[in-house]
Amino acid sequence: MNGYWGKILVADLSKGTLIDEPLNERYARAFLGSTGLAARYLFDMVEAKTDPLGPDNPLILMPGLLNGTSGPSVSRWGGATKSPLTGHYGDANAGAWFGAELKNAGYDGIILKGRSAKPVCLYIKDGVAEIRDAGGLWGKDTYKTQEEIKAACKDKRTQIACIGPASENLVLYGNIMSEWGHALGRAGLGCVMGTKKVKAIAVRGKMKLPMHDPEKFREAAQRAMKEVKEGFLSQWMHEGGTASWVDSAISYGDGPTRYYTAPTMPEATNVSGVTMAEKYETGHTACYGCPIRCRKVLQIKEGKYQYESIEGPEYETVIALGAMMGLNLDMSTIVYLNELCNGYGFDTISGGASAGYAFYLYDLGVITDKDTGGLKLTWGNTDAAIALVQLIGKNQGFGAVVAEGTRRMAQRYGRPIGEAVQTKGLELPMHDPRAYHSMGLVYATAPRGADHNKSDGYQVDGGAGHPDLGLNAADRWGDEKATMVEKSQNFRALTDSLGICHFAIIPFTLIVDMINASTGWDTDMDQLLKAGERIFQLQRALSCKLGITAKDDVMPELAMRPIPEGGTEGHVPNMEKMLPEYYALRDWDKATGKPSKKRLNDLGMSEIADPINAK
Amino acid sequence: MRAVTADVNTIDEAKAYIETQYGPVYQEKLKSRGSKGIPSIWDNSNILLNGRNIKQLDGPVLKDGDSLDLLLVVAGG
Repeated sequence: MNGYWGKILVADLSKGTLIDEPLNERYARAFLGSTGLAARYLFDMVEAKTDPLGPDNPLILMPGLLNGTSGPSVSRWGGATKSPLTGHYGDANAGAWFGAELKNAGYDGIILKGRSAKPVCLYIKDGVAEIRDAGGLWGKDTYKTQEEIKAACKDKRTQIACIGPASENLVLYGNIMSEWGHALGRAGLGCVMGTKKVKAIAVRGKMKLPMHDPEKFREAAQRAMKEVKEGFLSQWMHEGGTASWVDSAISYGDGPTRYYTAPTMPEATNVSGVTMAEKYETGHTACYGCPIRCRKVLQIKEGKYQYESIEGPEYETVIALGAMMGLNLDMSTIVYLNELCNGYGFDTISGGASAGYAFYLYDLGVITDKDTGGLKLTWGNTDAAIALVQLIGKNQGFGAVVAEGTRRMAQRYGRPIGEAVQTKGLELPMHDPRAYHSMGLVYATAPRGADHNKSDGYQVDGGAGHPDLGLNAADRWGDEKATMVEKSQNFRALTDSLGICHFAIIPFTLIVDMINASTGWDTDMDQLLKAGERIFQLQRALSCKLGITAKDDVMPELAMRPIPEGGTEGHVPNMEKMLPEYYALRDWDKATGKPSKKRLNDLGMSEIADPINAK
Repeated sequence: MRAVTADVNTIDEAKAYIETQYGPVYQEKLKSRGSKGIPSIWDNSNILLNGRNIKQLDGPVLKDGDSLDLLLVVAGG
């Protein structure tokens, strides 16, 4: 089998066993890798009654198909589980080096089952895995954890995926951190790892992946590298990083401010990527094999929290931990807040949004100092925000309320569920649907709940066409979005499963060449896009299997209230128009929301149709 | 993010004004397609007239008090 090792590491934590199981080649051919392949395995392993926090819920981590190769910017890996935050399908993606290292260590994936009685780590090196005690690491933050494991391994190239105190304490949106500040951020995968008492997975690999035609792969990869290096998006992402979007967000009204009730605050420019580049940047870091090097290294010698060398926060974090709570931050403080979240190990999007909702409820008078333990959550109160973030990480006091996410907070305080800005239980990322109408459809239909990266919606609405997909830049306030959203969701399901970064614009022909040279398949772009659709529909079917129906494809009311001032100018997505058109394209049942039996059969998934009772 | 006020009548005049504001190197980056055919900054920019992308407008005309946002076409995180 080329392009894969043909084996999965299955760790049964209850029994303390590690077994190499053969990779299901049929699954791999159909669902490729990362979140696509992980979702297919997960489909067989979870039911509606599976307790997300129980030992029967697996955590599945998988490299992208192209991870570990010489292809450019193809290092993204992913994971899937039944989300403890949402109660249904959950997945997450990350960059950095872990996926590539896992692939080069001889595995196509890891499945964690059961629950260990005591904290453990998994160590994997060149095809051999072992379980070690991690009692000494339990309680330590993600940075210290990575540092100590690397020191113990005496090999700085060992790559680590670990959890921090937040996931140990079962914060429902606890994440998995790797390579210091990279995160499998969303849906609480870290929390599930915490229930299993797995503190970390360390991998090191120098094995050479079997390839069908290594020379042809090298040629295609070199051409792809040239394309990525010279691409405008690559160059700008290197210069500005994701946080450079902050300035555009201010113009577009894209950055939710004061929990979706105010125009994007102009002061956010003080912590934008451009400001980082102009005042604080000393260098960049890169994911495995990536010429873009979009992550910034900053030196901060002013403000309350000073750093000699520190990674800069990403766009999502800058808005979620700043404007969302109405905080007018300096660079020192946003970096500190980011470091707190990363160290505790929880999702800055759900964490920031849940904290923002707490500020909103405090502003309304629904909660008071009595509820918050004395925290005065007035818009812009940075000290209170810092204290709240720390309490979330510890899952203590009022932080334990916020650590459950916005939907549970609304239920706790008897508030309308549409006031909690989430879909299917997952908080919206920091792209406001009132700034780009497509994002309403994207958030409402994403299988795991609100997910900005499962499409190219805001990019296309923001003026970036996608010629290979036949998508042209569109009016951001138009409502003819169903086709664009469907196409780009399929495309991103594909690229996620291959491990390709959103910022690497690789021509379709070269993607095809790399895959065929690696695997020996004779695929083409039509087949690959069909695989993307298959993966998306599988993830949808899995959500439905776990209880999601059409009535869950709804946008939260608070994020649909017009804001006349600022960049959104009172516009609101027309969901009544877009959603039925989208359902027709997807062939989803209007009542159950399930993909039709015919569509699943057409995509080669007849085996999926019966378990979900598709019609 | 920088804000300027300019007395211009058309989008092209606004672009010409911007090109004069940040020195010759930036002026070249704004306009040049480069020796390798790399698109210029203008080729990868959005111009919003009162929030609306001019690519979706039919021959926009400027009037007093209009706001133009000049933004790169880039993806956020």
